[in-house]
Amino acid sequence: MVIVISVVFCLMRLLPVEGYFGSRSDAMNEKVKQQVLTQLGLLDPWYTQLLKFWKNLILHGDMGKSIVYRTGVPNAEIIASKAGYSLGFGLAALILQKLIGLPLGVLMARFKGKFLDKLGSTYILLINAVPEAVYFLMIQLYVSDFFHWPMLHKAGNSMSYLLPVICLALGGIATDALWMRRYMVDEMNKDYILLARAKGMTSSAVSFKHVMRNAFVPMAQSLPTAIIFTISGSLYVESLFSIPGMGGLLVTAIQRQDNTLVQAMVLLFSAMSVGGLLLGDLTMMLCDPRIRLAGKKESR
Amino acid sequence: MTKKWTSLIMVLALLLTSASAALAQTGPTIDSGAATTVENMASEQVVKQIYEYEISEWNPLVPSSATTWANYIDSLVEYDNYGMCQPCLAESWTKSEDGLVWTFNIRPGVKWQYSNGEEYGVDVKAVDWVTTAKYILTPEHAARTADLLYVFEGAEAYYDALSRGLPGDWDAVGIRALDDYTLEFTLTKPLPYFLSMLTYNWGYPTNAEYLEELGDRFGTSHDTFLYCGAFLCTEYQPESYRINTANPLYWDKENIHIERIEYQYNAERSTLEPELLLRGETTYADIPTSQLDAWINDPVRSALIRPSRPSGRSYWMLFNFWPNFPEQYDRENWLIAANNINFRKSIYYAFDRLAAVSTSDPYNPESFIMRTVTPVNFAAAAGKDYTQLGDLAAISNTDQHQLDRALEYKATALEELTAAGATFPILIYMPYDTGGTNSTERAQVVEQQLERDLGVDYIDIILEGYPSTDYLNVTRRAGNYALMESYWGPDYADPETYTDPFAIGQKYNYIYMADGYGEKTTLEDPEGRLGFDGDFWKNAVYDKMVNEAASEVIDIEKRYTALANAEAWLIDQAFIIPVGALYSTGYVSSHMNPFESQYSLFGMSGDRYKYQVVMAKPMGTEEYLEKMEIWEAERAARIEAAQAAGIDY
Amino acid sequence: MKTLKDRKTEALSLGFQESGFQEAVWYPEQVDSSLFEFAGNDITDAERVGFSNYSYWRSTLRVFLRSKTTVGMLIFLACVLLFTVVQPYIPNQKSPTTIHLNPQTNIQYRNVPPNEEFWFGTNNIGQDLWSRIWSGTRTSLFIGLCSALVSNIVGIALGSIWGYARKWDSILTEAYNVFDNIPYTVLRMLLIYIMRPSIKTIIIVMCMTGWIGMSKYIRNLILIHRDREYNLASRCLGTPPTRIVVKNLLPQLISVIVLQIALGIPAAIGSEVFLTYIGLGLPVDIPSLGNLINEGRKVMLIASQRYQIFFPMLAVSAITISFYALGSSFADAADPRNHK
Repeated sequence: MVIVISVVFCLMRLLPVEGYFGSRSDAMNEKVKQQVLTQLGLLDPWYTQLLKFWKNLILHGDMGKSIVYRTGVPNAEIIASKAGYSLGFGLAALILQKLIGLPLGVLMARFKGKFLDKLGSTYILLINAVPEAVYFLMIQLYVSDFFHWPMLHKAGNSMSYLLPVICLALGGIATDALWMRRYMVDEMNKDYILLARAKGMTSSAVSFKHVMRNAFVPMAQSLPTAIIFTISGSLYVESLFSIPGMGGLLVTAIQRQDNTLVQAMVLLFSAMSVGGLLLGDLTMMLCDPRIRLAGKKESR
Repeated sequence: MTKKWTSLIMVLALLLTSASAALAQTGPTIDSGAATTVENMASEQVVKQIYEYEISEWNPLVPSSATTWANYIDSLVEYDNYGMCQPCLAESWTKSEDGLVWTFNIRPGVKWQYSNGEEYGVDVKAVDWVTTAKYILTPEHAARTADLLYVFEGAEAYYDALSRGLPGDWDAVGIRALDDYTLEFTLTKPLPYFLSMLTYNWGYPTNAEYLEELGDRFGTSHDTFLYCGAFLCTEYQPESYRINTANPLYWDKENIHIERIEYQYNAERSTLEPELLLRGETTYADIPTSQLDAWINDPVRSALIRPSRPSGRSYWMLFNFWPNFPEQYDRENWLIAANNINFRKSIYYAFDRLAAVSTSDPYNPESFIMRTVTPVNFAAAAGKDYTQLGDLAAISNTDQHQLDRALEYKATALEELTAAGATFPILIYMPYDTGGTNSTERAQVVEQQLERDLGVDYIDIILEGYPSTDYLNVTRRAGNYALMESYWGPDYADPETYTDPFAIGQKYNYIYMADGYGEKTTLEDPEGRLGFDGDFWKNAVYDKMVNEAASEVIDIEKRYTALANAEAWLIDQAFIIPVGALYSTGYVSSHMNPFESQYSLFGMSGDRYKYQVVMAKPMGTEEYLEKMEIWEAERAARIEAAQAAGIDY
Repeated sequence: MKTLKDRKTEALSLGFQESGFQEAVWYPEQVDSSLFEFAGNDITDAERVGFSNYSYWRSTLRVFLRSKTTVGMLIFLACVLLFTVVQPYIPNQKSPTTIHLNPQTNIQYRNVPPNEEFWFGTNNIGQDLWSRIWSGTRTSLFIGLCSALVSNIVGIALGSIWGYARKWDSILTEAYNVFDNIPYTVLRMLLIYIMRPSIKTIIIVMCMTGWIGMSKYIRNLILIHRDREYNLASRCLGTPPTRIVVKNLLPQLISVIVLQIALGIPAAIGSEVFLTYIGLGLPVDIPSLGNLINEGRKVMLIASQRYQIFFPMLAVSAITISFYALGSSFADAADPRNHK
């Protein structure tokens, strides 16, 4: 992680400095420009800057203050307030996704080759073939018009929460349904299922008692990562519906050359992915008694 | 497997066709039965706006633009709806004989307030402006407007001393509070337009105690600075919403008619805004040029839009005399061509600015084109608009787009350039900003129009797109272009402001490097000024003309005529080709009357909501044009009256 | 940070390939007994050295071409590819960047709905959408193909070394961790800023991030196969490691690799749409599906101009679907278990 942050830090240094002067870039006196850069600490050699960043982080747990995005506001504060929104919407969407996606997959597997299966497959294909940027806009336009819901998200207006959550969940539903369907079809042909069937269990009992329980294990592993990564939000949904979440933060921070904010976010994302993996292994261990931590020697 | 795919594809095809059928239907229709009251005033005086860029700087003293606080903090002076200077926090002012010392009498009884409207307990006093100036002139605060204060005696020396770590002499700086309500400014030289400079950041007062109390936290959010303006920012959630409420304690309450201003954030403003306006979720929308056809051709919607008001930004095509573009496009060859006046003129006369401006407003491009650098209605003297003074009148009154003349110049240029050893076609490297749709389209229109009219055997324009971030830095400011579009916005109320970009040291088109229009010199030469390439230059023809013109500070007519002559010379030499006041959108739909709002092309006054009301229905084009005419006449009359009476405005 | 689309593509790729294996697995209840006959003992048969005329590639091709949909898709894609290449050379085709003027008024043909002159209509400044879409398809497919090929080749090469050579394991693992932990968006954006958007830049940027996932995947697969008995045997016989990797291991992975390349192309188009959306895509004077969609989106709210989003969207959808379908059919076909 140390290397990661340092690499990003050096890359950011390669970017030009004009972003810091605002609209007066042309009219401004050269000497004043130099002063501004000096005061922002941008003219120090890169290793001094890097050292300063790490010293603050380790000694004070301080991720620095934003220099352009919201001047003077601590990065931790910016991220915390935005992550809350993304987490809320993301969790709601995740629940919706699991609630619809998994049963859809099961049903598609049950009625393999029938109408429902085809309908589901079409949905999956469409979601993947049409760019998100396009179908989100269409949903926003038509659905909100049809039900007379507000187009943009407004705190306090409960109806305005609905569409963003649905939009966020659509892609996930397709992925989950596809995965579940495949898993069910796969498992149904395994020997132990044949045995269970041979014992005279009904197919629904088999699905619930055997297949679904087994399907839960890989899901449990991916779930913590999925939950943690809802924080990162979705750029498209958040920009369309005016949700002050994390989705566009990284992009904006880079565009505005807010170096300290970018570093803080890279730090956060690295921590998140490591944390997600650890938690995933833990939950998997809890769900599946066959797995022991001692056996795990995978890198990362 | 096979079957599955076939059926899938079929279902998909079906869905796509039905989707296209749905697409063909009309979008959401609007409620055209909006109630119009007699005076067309909305029953609820609430402004709703969508914004796409969050405020990144809440500290009024640091950034380069002062617009954020326009409604929160009052300045010394402001402008009325005809662009005439009005008392604001300064009740009155006087200026000394020599024009160097300005004394302002501060309005007593104006309260400092918190964002929730509670009083801080102190009144606004003269010393608050001194606090502001001192803050800006302290290098450690990295204020972006410090150099604007160099017009004051001793300010530059103070800033320089501090930045070198020496103690500065604040007492020598010409900004003093004589008593609680008297403020005195001492200038280094007389400035006829000094009042208009007061609408920048340093025109805002700052309470020293509060500044000290908050320290680092001052100006990090809406509730960490003090208010004394017409509105209070009562609620704020970054990248979500911002709500302004009328200040009940405001000193000029009778001119404030709007009760609330609700800003809602949306990153896709330009796409969604027109639709949001139709649904009543905003009171203002820019109509993107790409959607304009549908609006103009729809009888209901076309009644809701009007042309947007040109800003003071002036756009031109620049011929570059410091070419640093990639060597493969032959810089030497370009320099030979650019230094030939007949070559420049052939392009000048061939350039169809109407076609270029059509990318912003295809229906009414005439109202956005500009034949001069300084826009019409910007300044006037002796009852004439500035663009009608001196040699500039001829340029303003004739259309430069004359293809036959262009071809004549082309013939001469062909001859001369061949003799000078140039190779044809002349490669013209033209970068453009890929961030804006309009700028991309304009680049293509210009390229194809010039090549078609002048012939590809004569010129070959090479377009190259650069992303918005840092665009000007890698192109114009680096000399990385042959011909490109750029702009300048006014900083104060005097045509001199439009001469700045072409002076020595500016990173525009470096005309002081053109053959015979400036001399290279050395650091030791006292007349030498630092050019942008690190060399020293002097005796630039244009700079000389401007300096002479600007040295006249008493006789405004003489001053303006001389400036107009300099500008006419610049255009006549075809160093630049004026294009227009290009907006991102030529049409807007707005519930506000633009002729009621404070008018100023610089500073923060134009962003204030004083005097304005929200109308029940957006203003239409006809009404706009009608009112525009009345307004222009009124403004001209007021300027003439003010000049006749010798009042600064 | 991977974009949603990236994650989706990954999930999908897993989905398709495994469902592919599954679909063709042989269901016991479908065994048709008439296909079988009892084999008697025959001395000549027993003496014959094990030989079959089985050729892996021929069988793969045979299975691949067995499905009519696949053949249809293949022909469709081939036609599209061919047409994107030859389209500019067909007479009477308009240039994708020429602005068309009305000869009478000398005004641009703006937003002309589809008609017989402009088959797909024109855009906001009078450029022909039909030729823009073909030109855009050409650009996007080129970007997709290049970046999918390069990132997969690099990914496979690094993945093989990483998985096979134990010496390199720790170094490559570290390198992987560094790259994987920099959010893709950061890497892509910074690279584009440093290099300026152009076709070349976009390809480089996509390759820079594309190989990471692939190499990890290949490494894991190789780890699984590396110590199988037949490879131990090879190694004992003195086969050089490169030969083991190329001859023994990679053929096992061929189906996966083809699938990855096939999915890489739509994924590249997806990321290009994303890059354009955040303002770092190709400039509009180089048409691509990404910026055509982005342009079209801006007028989507206007009913009469919706054709400007519909046609580019159709192109993207058709390409995406056919690559997905072909990729998964080929993965099926490349699996020797499906060679009957």
